[in-house]
Amino acid sequence: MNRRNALISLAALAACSPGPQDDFQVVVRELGGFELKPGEGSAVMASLKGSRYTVDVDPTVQPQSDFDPDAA
Amino acid sequence: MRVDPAWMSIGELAQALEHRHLSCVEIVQALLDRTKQLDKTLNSYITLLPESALAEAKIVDADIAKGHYRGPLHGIPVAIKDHIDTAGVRTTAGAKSRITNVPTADAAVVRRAKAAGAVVMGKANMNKFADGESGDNPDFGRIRNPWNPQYSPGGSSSGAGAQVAAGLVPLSIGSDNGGSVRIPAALCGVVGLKPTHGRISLEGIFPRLYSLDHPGPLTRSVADCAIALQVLAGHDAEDTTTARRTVPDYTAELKSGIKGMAIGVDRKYATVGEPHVLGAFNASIDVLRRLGAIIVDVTIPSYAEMLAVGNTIAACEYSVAAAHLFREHPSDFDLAKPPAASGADIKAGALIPAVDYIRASQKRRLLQRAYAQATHTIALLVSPTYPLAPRPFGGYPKPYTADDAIRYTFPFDLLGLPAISVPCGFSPDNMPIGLQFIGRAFDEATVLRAAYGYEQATDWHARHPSLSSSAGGGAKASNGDSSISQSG
Repeated sequence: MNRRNALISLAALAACSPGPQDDFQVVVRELGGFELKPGEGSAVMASLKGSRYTVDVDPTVQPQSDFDPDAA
Repeated sequence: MRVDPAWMSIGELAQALEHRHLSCVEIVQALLDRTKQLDKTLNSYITLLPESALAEAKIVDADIAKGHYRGPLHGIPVAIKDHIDTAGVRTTAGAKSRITNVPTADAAVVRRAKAAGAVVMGKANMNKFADGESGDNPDFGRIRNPWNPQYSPGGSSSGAGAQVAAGLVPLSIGSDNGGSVRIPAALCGVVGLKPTHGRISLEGIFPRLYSLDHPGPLTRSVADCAIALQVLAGHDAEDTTTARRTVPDYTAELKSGIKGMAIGVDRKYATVGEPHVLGAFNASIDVLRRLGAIIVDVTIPSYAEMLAVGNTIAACEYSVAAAHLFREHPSDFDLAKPPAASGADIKAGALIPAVDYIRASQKRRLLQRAYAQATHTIALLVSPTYPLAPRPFGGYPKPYTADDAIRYTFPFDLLGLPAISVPCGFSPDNMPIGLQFIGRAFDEATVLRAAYGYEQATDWHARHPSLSSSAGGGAKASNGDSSISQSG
């Protein structure tokens, strides 16, 4: 697990815990540049979990940056 | 006897203008009068521009009288989605917090339309920040479907769909990053084209999803759509995403027919939808077969996979595009409902690791390859445009979800492929249904040709909603059943 995923996993735990969300506040502020509203942590985590593509892809594939079929 | 410009095609209006059977001032005045009557109900415009439109119309008439006719968009009224920059005219992106935003220059698509002689009638209402497909704008009010004002017109180019369907304007320019041209086209019973990514410049258009945004025209016929694309398409030095490919003559092969054309159907993909939507879709395939098309079964990449990749890319790109808006006016996002992004979604997008975004971008290329491989024997794929018939404002009927709603449109934003929606039937409560043709990259000509062939073999496009004067006054906006009938 890389450092960033570890941070996010820790943040997930914090966000899902019933106690203060101080850890997650820090993650959102430091990594995202946003302040978390009170009680917003779980909604942010739910959105984050639904918006991550974590499947390994052949590392030799160039990320898509155009739509030209001759280049694809 | 004068004809009513409200239902004339761009082609018919162009002929009337060129041969001076109608003046541009007459056309613009008639459409302004109709708009003033009906838009109290429809709410399709955020900003109407009667003075400047009439002033432009006078110039058009003077130019044509001098023999300076510029072509088929000369003197044609056009509306512009309100997140597309217009010089000197406020451009809100559907948010009141941006009501003081007055661009100093036109967006590329507006420049092209004006250079062709089009007359800008106003700025179309839309889903706030082009996000979602509800047609429900909390700042500028609900945009209503001309077929029944109690129903959503779809979105996010909601005003565009409504105003074209209601005969307020023959052409409205919208944008699409999940279905925002094609969904309102389907739900309002008009034609909407999302071209290949890179075919039309994005310069001067409010960025929502950088790699998924596509500008596109909404019209009442496929031929009109071809005329509009001809003007809007082409390389733009100000937009590095635009292609340097030659723009073909889109009207040249419109009437060539579809006999012998291989058209693909993914029977597993096209199974989600209300029964009458799927019924209209299957009936459309029969029409295509009768026209001589060869229907071929294909299997495209799974929607679940395309959605997972697309959601990752969209979440990251929107978080970047909307960050400053959110910081300046966080309350702008308070009322967002799925699939529109809330403040929580914007914050979540900023936390997605860059490696996820890169993986998704790699997978996107693989999906493009897989799709190309799966469809290499066909000229086009067909699908429903939207799984649901138009419905009253509110959520999705069970068991459908926000992900289902964009099932047939979002994948082709992700893949960047050209796709058009044309009317293909009506639901039991007399609301329009759309059929989608998806082509190969930069082959809009074949998309238009097939859509035209289908359109000419059916009469769905020839039906228009008729709003009574009582509906036009807004008094019966809550009683759509009695104020709407069908004509034509």
